[in-house]
Amino acid sequence: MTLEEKIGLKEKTTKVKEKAKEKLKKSKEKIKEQAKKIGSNIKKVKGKQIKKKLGFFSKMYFMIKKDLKLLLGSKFSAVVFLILPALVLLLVCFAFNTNVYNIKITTYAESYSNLTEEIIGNLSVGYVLEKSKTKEDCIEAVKFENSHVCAIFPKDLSIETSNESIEIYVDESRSDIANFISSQIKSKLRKKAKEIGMGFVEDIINVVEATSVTIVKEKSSINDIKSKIGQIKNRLRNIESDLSSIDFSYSLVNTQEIYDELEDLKDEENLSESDISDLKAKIENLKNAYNSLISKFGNVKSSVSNNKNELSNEISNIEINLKKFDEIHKDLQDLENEINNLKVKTPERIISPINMEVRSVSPKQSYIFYKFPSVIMFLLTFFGILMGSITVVREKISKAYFRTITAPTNDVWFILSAFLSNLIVTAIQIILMIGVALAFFKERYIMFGHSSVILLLVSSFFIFCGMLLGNIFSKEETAILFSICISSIFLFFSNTILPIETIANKTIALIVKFNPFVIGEKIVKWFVFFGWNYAIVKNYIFMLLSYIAIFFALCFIVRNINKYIAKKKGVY
Amino acid sequence: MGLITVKNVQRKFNDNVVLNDLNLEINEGEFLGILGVSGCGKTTLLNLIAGALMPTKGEIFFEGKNIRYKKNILKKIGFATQEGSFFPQFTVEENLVYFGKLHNMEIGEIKKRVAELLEMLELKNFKDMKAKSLSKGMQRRLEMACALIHNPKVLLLDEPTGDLDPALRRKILNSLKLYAKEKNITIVLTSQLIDEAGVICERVAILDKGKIKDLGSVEELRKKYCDYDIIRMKTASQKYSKYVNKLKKQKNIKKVLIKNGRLVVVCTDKNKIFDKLFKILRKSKDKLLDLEVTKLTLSKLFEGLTKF
Repeated sequence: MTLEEKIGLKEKTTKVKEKAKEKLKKSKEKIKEQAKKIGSNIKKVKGKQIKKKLGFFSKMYFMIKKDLKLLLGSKFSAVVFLILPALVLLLVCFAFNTNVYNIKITTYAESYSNLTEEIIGNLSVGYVLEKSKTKEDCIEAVKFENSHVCAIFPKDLSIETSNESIEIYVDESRSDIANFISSQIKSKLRKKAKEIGMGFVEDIINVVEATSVTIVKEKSSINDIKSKIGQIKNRLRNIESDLSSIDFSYSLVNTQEIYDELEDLKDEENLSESDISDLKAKIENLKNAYNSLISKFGNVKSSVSNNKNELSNEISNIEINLKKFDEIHKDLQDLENEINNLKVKTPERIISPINMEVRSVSPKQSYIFYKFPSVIMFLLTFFGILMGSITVVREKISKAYFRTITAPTNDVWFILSAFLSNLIVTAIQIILMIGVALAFFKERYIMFGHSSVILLLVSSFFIFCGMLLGNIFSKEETAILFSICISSIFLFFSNTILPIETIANKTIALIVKFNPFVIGEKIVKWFVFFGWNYAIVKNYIFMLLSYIAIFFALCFIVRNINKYIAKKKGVY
Repeated sequence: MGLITVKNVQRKFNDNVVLNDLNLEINEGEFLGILGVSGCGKTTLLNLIAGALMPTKGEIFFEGKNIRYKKNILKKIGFATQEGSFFPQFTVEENLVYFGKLHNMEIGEIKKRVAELLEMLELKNFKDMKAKSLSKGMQRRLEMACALIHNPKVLLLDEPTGDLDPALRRKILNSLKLYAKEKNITIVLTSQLIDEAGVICERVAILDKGKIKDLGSVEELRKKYCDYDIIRMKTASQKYSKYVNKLKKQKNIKKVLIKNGRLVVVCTDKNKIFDKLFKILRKSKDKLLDLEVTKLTLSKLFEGLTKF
């Protein structure tokens, strides 16, 4: 190979190398470009996704802005919807946040005894008292609401003489306060009656104790008498046996034998007839005397026998009496035992054998604190329904409704934006209301914080409820009227005005238990009063969420029906 | 097939037939005027085209598809209503931005369109004014801007310049024409004023008693109808039945009718008609009280077609 050839080959190889390098470079560039393209495509896709997301928020922002403008367009509307609920709550808390009730009691008695004055004195603590001139005036004062209670006392009321009762008149139509006042007055009167009763019971206890001592004494006397009578009885028994042991037996004298003996003796002794006759006469006299003695002895015998019988009778009488004494003794013993067995001998225990004390499970607070869940729930119900309906109906009656409804935007957007704008207003309302509540019940701030989520959830339901009304009605006045009606129904079928337990119809009572107002009130009460947590109320939360979902769906359906009707009738 | 085809459409409101067996074809990019007296069904027709109203009978097609089943039609149509459909409590700009958003436009694009439309409709200086504070004419222009914000393919204008003064009317319509040409927008405009339609419309449809009475370019209609003379005659007896019966048979008569106690004759050769009229007058021994002869203008043509 020549040099030239070698050089040519080298040049060729360098050229090939260069070409290969260029090709490699080009392919590298191509790969780079493709990679860039892929990268930019990925970026574009990502960008589109982000834009889509941003677009969603941006669209929702403008729609919410529009709804807020419709709702809070004027300054007056803004004040009404944002501040009024908190102002109402503030007013209510100011007015009722106290335990001193300005309750007026009118009393009447034909003549006031010391006892009457004493009772009235007791009543005067915490109440405003006024004496009425006549019974009728006293009752009329309650009727005309110049007084809350009329207490009529019997003339010269005294414990000893008076059987009449104290009459208390309250206005039952004011069920909210009537029960409260009557129970307060009854408790005060009961306190006085207890004092008086204690005196009575003390007297009775003293008498019983004295009787017990007497019984013990009388028992020993009876025992003495019994032993003495026993002794007498024994003695009488001895006498009786002595009498029984007297031998009243005798034999009659046979005078013929004596005469025969005399005859024998006469013969033997040659006694004269006259002697014999004398002897006979003497025997005869003796016989007569003996006979007379026997007859007397017979009398003694019968007398002893009679006395013995009487003695027996008396002994049996004594035995009966002794038995009676035993019974008396036993009775006295029983009485003593009963007295001894009396478990309660202190007057306090006799007057009120069972001590009762009503204790509240909820924290001791002012009256309005207990009513707080109802008040806040009422405000949220009323404003939620009202705002929901007004937002929708204002859009419906606006000039822009045609353009809005014919725009290529899904109804879900409109429903969501109306709901969210209302929810924003409600959130502000809740924050303000909780602020007011905290000013009065500082110590329960955590509980109020917890309950705000529930309040928002319940409000959501009421907003959807209002939105449904707004979709149904096409005039603002009608929608407002119905909103008030529906709010009232929710209110009446809750515990706020009357306890739901007083609902007679079982079906209605059951339905009312599922009233969102009742559920909300219940949960707020549990949270604020007892500090319960979400885990306990999760079922209720699910229930509320279900209600919200149902009403969202109803809003969607009614809105579409409206659209269909508008298209069909050409009325927008 | 045109961009919009209205086929045998009937629309009833209760028993009142507003549109009856109406057929119309609107081509892409054309400016069509629909003329008619108040209550003749112009707005109803626009509502039907916009899909805001359902026809009682018949079908409307947009780009060959029945609008009943075409969901995206609202994106492609802009509708400026007679009453104005915007939020009075919002400013001009707020209204436009809101409706732009309802059409899923991006905020940057909306801002650009707002500036463009405010410029074109001479509302630039009023963009921060509340719509309710605007004059009637400005509100009309705002309504047009709202209809155009989403760059529609078809713009429906329902008597758009009713409250504008003649000079501004012409100016706005010309701007609108240029704008629409540039963006290839089809315009369907309703009006009671043929002059208004004459400014921008390439074709005019005359709507009367729920039907299209005539359709053609303004020039065609002018040629077709404007050579006519209108003779208005009042006699002492005011009994014109003889005149009507005899004149109807004449060849050069377009229309004979009795209106406001006068005999109205639309014809091409007025001298011949005069001869005929005076003959009848003499025969009936009636007395001529008043006679007026006018030439049919474009406006009169429209009046004549609808009211005569």
